[in-house]
Amino acid sequence: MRTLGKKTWVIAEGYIPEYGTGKEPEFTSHETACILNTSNQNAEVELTIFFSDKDPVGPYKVTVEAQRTKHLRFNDLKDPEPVPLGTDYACVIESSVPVVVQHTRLDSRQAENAILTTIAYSE
Amino acid sequence: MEIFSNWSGSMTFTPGKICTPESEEQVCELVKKATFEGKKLRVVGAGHSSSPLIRTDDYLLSMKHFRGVEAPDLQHHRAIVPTGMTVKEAGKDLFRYGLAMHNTGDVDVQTLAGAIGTGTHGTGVELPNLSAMLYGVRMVTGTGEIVEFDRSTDEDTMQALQVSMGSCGIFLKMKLQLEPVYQLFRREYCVSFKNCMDHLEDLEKNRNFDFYWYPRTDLCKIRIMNKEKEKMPEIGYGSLELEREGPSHEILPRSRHIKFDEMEYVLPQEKAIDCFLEVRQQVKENFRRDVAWRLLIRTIRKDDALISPMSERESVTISLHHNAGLRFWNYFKAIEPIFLKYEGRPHWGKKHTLKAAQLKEMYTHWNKFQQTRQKFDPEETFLTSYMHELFIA
Repeated sequence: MRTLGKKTWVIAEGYIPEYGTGKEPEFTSHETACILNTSNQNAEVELTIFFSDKDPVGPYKVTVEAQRTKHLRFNDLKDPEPVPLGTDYACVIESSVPVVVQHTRLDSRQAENAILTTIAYSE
Repeated sequence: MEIFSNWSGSMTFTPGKICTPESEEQVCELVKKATFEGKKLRVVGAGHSSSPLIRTDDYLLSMKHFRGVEAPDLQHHRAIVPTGMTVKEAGKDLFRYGLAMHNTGDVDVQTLAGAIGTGTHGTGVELPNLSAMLYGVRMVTGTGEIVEFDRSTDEDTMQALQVSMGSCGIFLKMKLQLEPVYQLFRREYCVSFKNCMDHLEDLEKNRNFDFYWYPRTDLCKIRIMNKEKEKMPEIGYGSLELEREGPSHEILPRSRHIKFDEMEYVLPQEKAIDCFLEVRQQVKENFRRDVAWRLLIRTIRKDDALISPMSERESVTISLHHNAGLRFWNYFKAIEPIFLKYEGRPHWGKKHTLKAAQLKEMYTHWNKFQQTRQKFDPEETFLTSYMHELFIA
């Protein structure tokens, strides 16, 4: 398999709803960065979170093993600090090898769940 | 002038002088000097506590040069541990002699003397906190005299000294009641909250059992340890996250690279789950926006130390965590009244807001402890302003 993707990705529209409907954790309102690493090397990935009213926070460090995908819930990040719920944010993702990043949000604030997904911007 | 900062960075102060004595005589001289000058002296361990137990404007004394296990007694399973050693160092050194502690906490970076002096604990319904190991002590009193006590002849005094936060004297050496070395098998599973609650009674039958609850997923992680592999239960309702086996001092603690601040209360066993459910509800409703760290629930056997948080009652602890550097008081202060409603007692070394007036109502033998403290520290050399708030008013 050839190496697909880019080393830098941007999710400009981040927002984790503060509450949800339905059984947890399956229906917890959340956002996910799905990171696919098709290369034959581990991807050392660093995320930086940007806010509308304070300085960026990061890096959040994760490893995506060679030829694996990782579905990273922003809700679960806690080092260096949790991503606040109910708050506008954006995310820059930088990887040591090219990867593909898809962004997904489950908004379960109403019982008729809404899901949004998009390929992030890459450079 | 050197600024002291604790492990999490949330408690800083500037002591007048940091002293690192290398002999018992130097410790005695320092205490006599402080007493003569009317100054306060406190002993710092590894700085892992986040309550200001060691805060002083005067002398801050480190026992870091007092190291190396002595006089291992394989017949009675006892050894002497100097008070400059961390839990990790003591565990490794004792292992060389075929001895082991009955339990340790979730981390092993504290000094063992500090862990004992604050009633720090691990988990297990049959396992008391670390202070229960204290069989005897050699210490310097507030008048600079060296005294020795042990449980065979001085049971009452030992019950006071066992959890005393350095308020009665400076421990030089501790004689510990230990066990022969033993292996532990450890497994950790991710389970649903409902399954965790439904199986609590069975889970608590394991030698060591505790669980995390994660506020943002409502999932739990259960952690089980036993001496015998055949006693390890198969958890069909969870996913296995970790499996290890090895000598107890390597298996009991987990490494922690993320620093945090913590509030922990010790609840009567029979009230703990109701308390936890109320705390969980409060966290879900009001604190998930900012809090992602888990709550940790552990069990501890009662002991007979006068002001041990587990004194005279089978106990369960609930601890809150928040990333070091973030504002934690709003969260901790909102939950603390729930702990108090269920008759919780605070961990001495972690965040809490209580003062003497509330604390003395929690302990049957409070006055007896204070009498012992006053006997050993008549000039109040160890009674800093914070310790005064804690013990007097």
